[in-house]
Amino acid sequence: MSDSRDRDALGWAGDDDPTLDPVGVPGDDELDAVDEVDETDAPGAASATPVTAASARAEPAPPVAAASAPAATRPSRPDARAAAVATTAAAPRPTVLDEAEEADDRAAERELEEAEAAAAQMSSVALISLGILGGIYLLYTIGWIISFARYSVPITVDFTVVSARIAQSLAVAAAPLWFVATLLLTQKRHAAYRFLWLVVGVLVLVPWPFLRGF
Amino acid sequence: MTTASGAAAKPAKPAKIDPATGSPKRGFRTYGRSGWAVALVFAFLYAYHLWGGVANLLGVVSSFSSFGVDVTGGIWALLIAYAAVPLLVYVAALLVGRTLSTGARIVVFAVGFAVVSVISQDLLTLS
Repeated sequence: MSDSRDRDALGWAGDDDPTLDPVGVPGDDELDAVDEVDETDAPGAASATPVTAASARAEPAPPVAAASAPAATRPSRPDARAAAVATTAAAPRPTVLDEAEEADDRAAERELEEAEAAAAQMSSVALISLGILGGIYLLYTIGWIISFARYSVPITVDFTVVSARIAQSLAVAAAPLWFVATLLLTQKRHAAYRFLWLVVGVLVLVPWPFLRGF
Repeated sequence: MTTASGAAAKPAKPAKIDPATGSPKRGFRTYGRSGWAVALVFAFLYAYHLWGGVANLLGVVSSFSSFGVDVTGGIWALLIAYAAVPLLVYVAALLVGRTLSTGARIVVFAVGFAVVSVISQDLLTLS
């Protein structure tokens, strides 16, 4: 159930995966970071910050807002952007590893949802029917094994005997093979196909040698 | 089961559309080169069963004639069925595999190989 990214967690082969792209637009992140820097770096001008930030965003030319605020605590807009880039390079910008972890989390959640949906589709009636059919196949297998064990091997073992033993071994393997192969090959199909083929197997694989005492 | 062929020819519920003609694919055109290679390999395996059946038919008929006993209709039916089972199951597996991927066809042929033994044992019990 794990995709290739889980196995290749330490490799770089999946770098072109679209889910590993940065989530937000870089420009927005920088603007938000600038606002945060303003609030944290200039505690004295905290009350004035929203107004000045809004004016700075509205007007491309910063000197008006910068003149109204104290020049030492309120750096001009380009300086703030540079400081933001310098600080975000250290901490708050999500790294590739963070994004990979987030992508893994989302993939796991999606997988869980799909699994829950798939599990919910099988009704209790289908589940019980599958259990009964599996029990029949198990009994058939036991019947073929008993038939295999009843065969008395002649003293002189020639090719005919070996051939018969091979055929009997294959007959023992037939019931479990049919059951597993049916479940395997009808996974993506409607449940009716699965039960149809399982019922066909119940009819074909009846251990007649066991039932007739051979 | 290779992912490429498995994804390409998985469950062709609504029959696959042939890009060249635009009509649904039918018959054995879904068998590619690998599909026929698998069919050929399993043809040799099934031939083992077929050989045993034919040898049994010839041996029983010759031994009956050596004892001067007529082969009855029921015996004929059993002998011919015993020899024909591998052929019938092979054709059935070939038909079932039309809508499947190459890997799934291998599974179907393997199960069919075991089913041939089952039916042969059943027929031996009846004789």
